[in-house]
Amino acid sequence: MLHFDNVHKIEPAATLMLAAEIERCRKLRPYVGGLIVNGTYPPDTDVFLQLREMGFYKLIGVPDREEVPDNRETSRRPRFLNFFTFDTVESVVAAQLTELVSVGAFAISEKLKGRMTGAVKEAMGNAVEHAYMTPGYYPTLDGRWWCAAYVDPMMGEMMIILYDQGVGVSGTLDADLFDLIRSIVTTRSWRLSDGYMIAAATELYRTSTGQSGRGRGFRDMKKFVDSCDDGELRVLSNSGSYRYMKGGEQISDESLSIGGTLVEWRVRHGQPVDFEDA
Amino acid sequence: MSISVAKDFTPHPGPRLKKQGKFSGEEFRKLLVEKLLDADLLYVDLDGTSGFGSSFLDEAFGGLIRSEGMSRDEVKKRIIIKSEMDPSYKDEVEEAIELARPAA
Repeated sequence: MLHFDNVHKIEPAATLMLAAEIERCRKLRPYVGGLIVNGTYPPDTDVFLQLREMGFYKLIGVPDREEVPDNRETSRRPRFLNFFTFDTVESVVAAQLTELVSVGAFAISEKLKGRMTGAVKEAMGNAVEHAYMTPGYYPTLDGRWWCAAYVDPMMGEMMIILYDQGVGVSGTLDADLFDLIRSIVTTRSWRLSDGYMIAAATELYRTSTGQSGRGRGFRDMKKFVDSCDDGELRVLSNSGSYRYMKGGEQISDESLSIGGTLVEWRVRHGQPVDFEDA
Repeated sequence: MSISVAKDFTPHPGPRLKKQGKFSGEEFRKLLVEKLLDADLLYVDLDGTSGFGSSFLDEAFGGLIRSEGMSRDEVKKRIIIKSEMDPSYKDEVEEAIELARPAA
């Protein structure tokens, strides 16, 4: 039973993970008629409306109470897309997301639209290709990823979040990639923990097997962060936490695992975005 | 002979493998192999798509060495890449070819 009684603010990433968890319960426990999770609507109007705009109620299969009017000021807040979820790489969806960012947040050159679309596709691909390679502690909807996004025209900001319930970055490394990551970790005097392994994985994008690199998606996401007024790339995987901001990064390990991998990419910029490769 | 990804395959290139989604690098690689049966030299135009994930390019071009039995020299000699909109894609293909090892 979910109670939102005292909730006055909810992060998009937390909402997405909650929706994914509910979907997992409903789909993998059908013998209880999908009623394994129920709850109350948030009494806080802003929270209720934010969840509705994100498509939270639709995704978990409860009425979204369209009769409740949304009188919030539209120009001074982020506009959320409905959550979406697939178990394949959806190239057209990635391209549409980039178009939406270029219209709703900040202008992007054609070249960088391609980079942004490519980075999103890589993130989808990492979930489909790597995340569920080995069984995890709990049953999973294999290959499945969930996405949330918003654009904020007033602030010139966008955020894209992708989440999977796989075994995490550290659980999907083959020997080839593990050795490369270990060498990065050692060179930098890091520890071989989840957080540092995420950090190392964001620096790698190909190995000789061609099967295990994590793509240049992370590298391009970081370039956007570096080239814009403000932004960050946050990757949480199992117990590890990696945060990249312009001019710095934070790496840590928490006591609890998030049970998968979450990539949160936020960028704000006041003018058209472009950058050159080094 | 030439082939355009955007015009002859898809404007929205997909994932690495066919089982992972539509218009994969694996499918495009098969198309390249088909074309290479009829031509000594193949010009591949990467312009005009909505963007590539690196796994697509790796599977399409590095996969010629890993999965199709071609040698690195043969791939480099017979495939010419054009990528004017974003030259980094060409670099990426060259790197994929350079790093690919034949499957054991």
